[in-house]
Amino acid sequence: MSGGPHRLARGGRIDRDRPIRCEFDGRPLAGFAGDTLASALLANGITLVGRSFKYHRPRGLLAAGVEEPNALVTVGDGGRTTPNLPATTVEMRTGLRARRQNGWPSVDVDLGALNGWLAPLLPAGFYYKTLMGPRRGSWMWYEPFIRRAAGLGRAVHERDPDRYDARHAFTDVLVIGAGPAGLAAALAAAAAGAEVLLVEQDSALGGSLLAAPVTGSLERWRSQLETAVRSTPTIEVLTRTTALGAYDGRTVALLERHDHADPDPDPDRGAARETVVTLRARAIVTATGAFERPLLFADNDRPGVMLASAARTYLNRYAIAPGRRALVATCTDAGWLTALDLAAAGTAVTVVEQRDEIAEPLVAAARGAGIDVRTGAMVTRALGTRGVAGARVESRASGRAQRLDCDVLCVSGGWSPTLHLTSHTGRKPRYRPELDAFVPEDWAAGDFGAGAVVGAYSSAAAVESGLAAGRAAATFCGCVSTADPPTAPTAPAEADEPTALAAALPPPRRGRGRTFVDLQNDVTVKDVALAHDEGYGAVEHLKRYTTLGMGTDQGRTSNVNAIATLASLGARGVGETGTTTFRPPFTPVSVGALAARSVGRHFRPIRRSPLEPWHLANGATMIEAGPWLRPWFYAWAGSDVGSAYREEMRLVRSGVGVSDVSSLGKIDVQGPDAAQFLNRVYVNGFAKLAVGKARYGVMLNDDATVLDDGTTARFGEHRYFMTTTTAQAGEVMSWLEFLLQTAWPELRVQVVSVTDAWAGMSVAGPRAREALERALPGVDVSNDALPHMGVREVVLDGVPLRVLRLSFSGELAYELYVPATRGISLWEHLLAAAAPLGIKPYGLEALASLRIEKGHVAGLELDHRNTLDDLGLGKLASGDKAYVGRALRARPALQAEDRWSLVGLECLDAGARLRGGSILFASGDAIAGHGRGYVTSVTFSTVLGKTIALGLYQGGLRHRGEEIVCAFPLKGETVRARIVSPMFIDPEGTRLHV
Amino acid sequence: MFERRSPLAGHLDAGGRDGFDGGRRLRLGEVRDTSLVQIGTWPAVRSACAAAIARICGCDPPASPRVAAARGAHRLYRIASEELWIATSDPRLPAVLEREVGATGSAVTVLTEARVRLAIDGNAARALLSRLVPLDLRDASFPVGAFAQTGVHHAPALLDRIGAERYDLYVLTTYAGSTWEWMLDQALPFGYDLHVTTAADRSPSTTSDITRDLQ
Repeated sequence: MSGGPHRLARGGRIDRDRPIRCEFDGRPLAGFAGDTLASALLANGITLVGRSFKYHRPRGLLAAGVEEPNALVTVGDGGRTTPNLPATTVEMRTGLRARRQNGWPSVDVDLGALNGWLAPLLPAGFYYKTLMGPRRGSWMWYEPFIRRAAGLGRAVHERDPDRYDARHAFTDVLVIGAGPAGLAAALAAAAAGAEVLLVEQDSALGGSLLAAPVTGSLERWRSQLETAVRSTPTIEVLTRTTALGAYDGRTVALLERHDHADPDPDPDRGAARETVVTLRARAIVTATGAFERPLLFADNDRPGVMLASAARTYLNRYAIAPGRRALVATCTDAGWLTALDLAAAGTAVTVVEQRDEIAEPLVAAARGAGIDVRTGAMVTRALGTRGVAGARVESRASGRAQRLDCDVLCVSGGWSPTLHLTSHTGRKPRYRPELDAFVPEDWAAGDFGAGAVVGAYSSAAAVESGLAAGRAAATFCGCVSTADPPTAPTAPAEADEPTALAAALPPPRRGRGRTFVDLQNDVTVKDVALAHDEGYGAVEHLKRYTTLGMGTDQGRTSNVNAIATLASLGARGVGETGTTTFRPPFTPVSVGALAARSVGRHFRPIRRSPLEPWHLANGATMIEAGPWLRPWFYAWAGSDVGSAYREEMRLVRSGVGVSDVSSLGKIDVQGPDAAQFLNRVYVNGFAKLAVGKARYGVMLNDDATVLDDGTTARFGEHRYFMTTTTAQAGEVMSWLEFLLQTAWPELRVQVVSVTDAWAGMSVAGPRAREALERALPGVDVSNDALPHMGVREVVLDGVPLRVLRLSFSGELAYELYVPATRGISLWEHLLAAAAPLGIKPYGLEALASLRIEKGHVAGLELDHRNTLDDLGLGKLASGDKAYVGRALRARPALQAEDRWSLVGLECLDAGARLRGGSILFASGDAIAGHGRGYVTSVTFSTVLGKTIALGLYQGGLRHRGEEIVCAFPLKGETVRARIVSPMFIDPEGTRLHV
Repeated sequence: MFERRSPLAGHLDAGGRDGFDGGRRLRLGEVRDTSLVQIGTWPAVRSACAAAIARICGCDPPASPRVAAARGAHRLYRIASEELWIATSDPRLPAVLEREVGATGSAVTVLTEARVRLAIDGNAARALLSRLVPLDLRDASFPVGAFAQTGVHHAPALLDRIGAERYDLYVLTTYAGSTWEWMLDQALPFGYDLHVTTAADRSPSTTSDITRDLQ
């Protein structure tokens, strides 16, 4: 098996003993283990790999790595579909299914190519202009067409069945990039005693050395470096791992890919497709190398135009002849190395060198290899349509042009250091003219650079800089070197590659064809000029106006060429023009990987009552309430909430019911100063609360809005049991801690959340006392022994039990608290003992409805915007003590008479639906805008036989008796209501004291 | 009358799972019968409180918020500058602490019911924990005896390394089920066995002589 007609008989890093067949565009595609999809395509002569974003021009492989702008493919089917993957990064594997994208009816015959004829109508920023005209709303008309015509691959709606993991990792020295610099840095840091993590996005170690001939001295050296690294126990190597982003505190996000062996890893066995790693390092060595830049000339996007470094990679790493007749257009020595390797492989080669002066050994070697050398010349246009057929070459001195035939046009326009990660942390690079490149500078403490990213382009120089950076990083970590100086396997002479270059000259302004700066976004030199002429002369503006540098390749091959083009249009140089800011992720990452396991039932944690198993086993329908899962209603009362909660309400109003209130916040307050502390926290007095008594209290934020309400019981001289609302439990706890640690550190008080320690249940209804007498025969719960707001602590069967006579429903009621693990036992005991009374459980809907009838405020009213007076609680506040919020309570704005204040509402339209959130208007008001208030809570009152609500209304109860309108604009509904007291039942509190 | 029911009752019945490679590299479980007490103090009674604790538990309260002190059945954690946790397999200790330490004027809150103690053992324990907590668990940073207050799946937790490949994780009772499900999901690639164990199995002895004397 040859693995494709363009595969060379020998060489490469592919495993010829492991042939692989995958599916591409529905047809079989042959390759070998070690191939990428891109190399397999090239080996099989498939050079048309995609259509461009805007003009649907035919495109081929430009690169061999993550910088590839053209060859974007869709991989997988159904929920496993992943669009927009560069074919250069997709490893060949059995079972792989991939297809080209952005062509209709196919990439080979694409009607979208007609866009090319419309190019004069589609200049840079044309879609922005549709926002302005020709008339209002034009964009809405254009958008579907633009989105359909342009674009990349398409996402799918199916659920992704794969598993994605996330983990944390820590290391002393993180080395990003396993080229010669990174390998050396890892060795040096480890030799100095540091624990090292070496990450490499490729499947193999070596970086640029992987593009060298496998039979040469460079490969032997690379192998020695790899062996040294892998045999060092303190170096952990992660291949197929990309550093996606760098963040403060030397935190780096890594993406590990695991699907190289199995395209469909089994999630049921815990096999993940990808893992996101949050890595925290004590020092970082960035050895991310550099990307080669293409040259700018007309029709430089034709399939067959390829980076010289990519051609060398395909040749030496994958054993593929990228063409039979190659033209290498270059302004760098690196282009010559490609030319030499191609010639050695039997390819007819012509070098078109922009420079006049070239190092003599290079020229001699080229001529010795039979290469046709043309110095002082430039390619001005690629010839051919669906593939390169030749090039128009022009002498710089004479201006004379001629056509040279070729089927692959290799281009080398200089190097762009991979400075994305340093850019993520806000470090601006500096332009170095001698390199014609932007290079990171202003390294933060603990950050180091090595290799091509800092301009050390030759392999030997990269290793030297890597050794120095690795040692420095280890020293920064406090490691003491035992090897002095650090060493790496000796570099061969070939590692000192020639690296001279000149800045690429700009293309001719006139002439046929389009000169592309950004291939992925179809941005041309003409587009850059247009943007400049229209005032978008700053590089960040240029980016946004033209989309240059956006997309999956993030401008890796286009950025500097665009800056140079922009600079050539104005008075500023390249360095002054500057770069755009790169942001994470470095390469595209699937949303699944970012979500990791926080999907489905693990999307967020669920907080469960100790009584939950009983609820589930006894017909409760559960509902999420914040993090809690609470019983909404029970099957005994009805099959749907609408009927069930009314039945449960009737039970509580007429007999006795029991409700799970375990979710209430519970705080143990202890210490000699506990009374004083509570007295300062609550607006009402707590200093004189007697042992065995409880008191309702309200606490304010320091801006005088209500924070929360609840009941606090005193069980001992210095021991209190505070309850809070479910919704505000965490916030109250934090607030109390904050006050103790910052405002009153002198107070001898400890607050501890005991929400989890106690199961809570409310026994409510006229027959509640009878129920307790049956269930707790040894406990005196008579009105004398346990009056309203009385509390008792008893021990039953060795288990502590707290009984608090409190009511949320307005009925005679008790709250029982028992250690959490005993909750179900007490609950079941209670139900059994009081069964003759008809006791049943009632759920959250009934609980909330009962409190509306009673006029108790809850989370919907306590929204941190309302004051005590807004909620009708002003009289509760003590006038002769200090409390949090008192000072600001007197602000005029908080005392204004027209503030939205608590009112009761009775629905006047029988049968009409009054919705929570309805906007309140006075009769006669136009139903528009924000109105005069809104409905906070609504229910059907089984006592009154009508729909009632609580709400906030401008001026509050000063409008008692007025008829108003409740509007719900989303549904187009209006309902009439009358303003009444929010206390719908038993305003005297008679039922509480029976 | 009041039978205990663990919040993880039912969760442990599912049995173990093989990992990706067919092995079971973890042993996960609930540690029952752990008593837990939080003690808070203030400068004026700090010394008396510490003396009482030392007398009862047999060791001084730890000064470090990163390293637990251990003696017999008891493990002591400094969770804040003036706050301690004491976990023990001795069920009588909370009452002793309430009486003896409470007498110093310090605050004593029993949290036995507020936390569930999970056992995470095995050669993949650290790998599993790297998916649960953002902590540097390398030996140099988190040696045996180290502990940390951290968070697991958005809920607070305390992690204690009690052995080379043995960890205890204290989680809030009401989040225990959710945390357990999250942990098992994260453990799936490694494979695991499930078990119920006791606090006594997690410490060298069951009851200190000093505690016994104070009954």
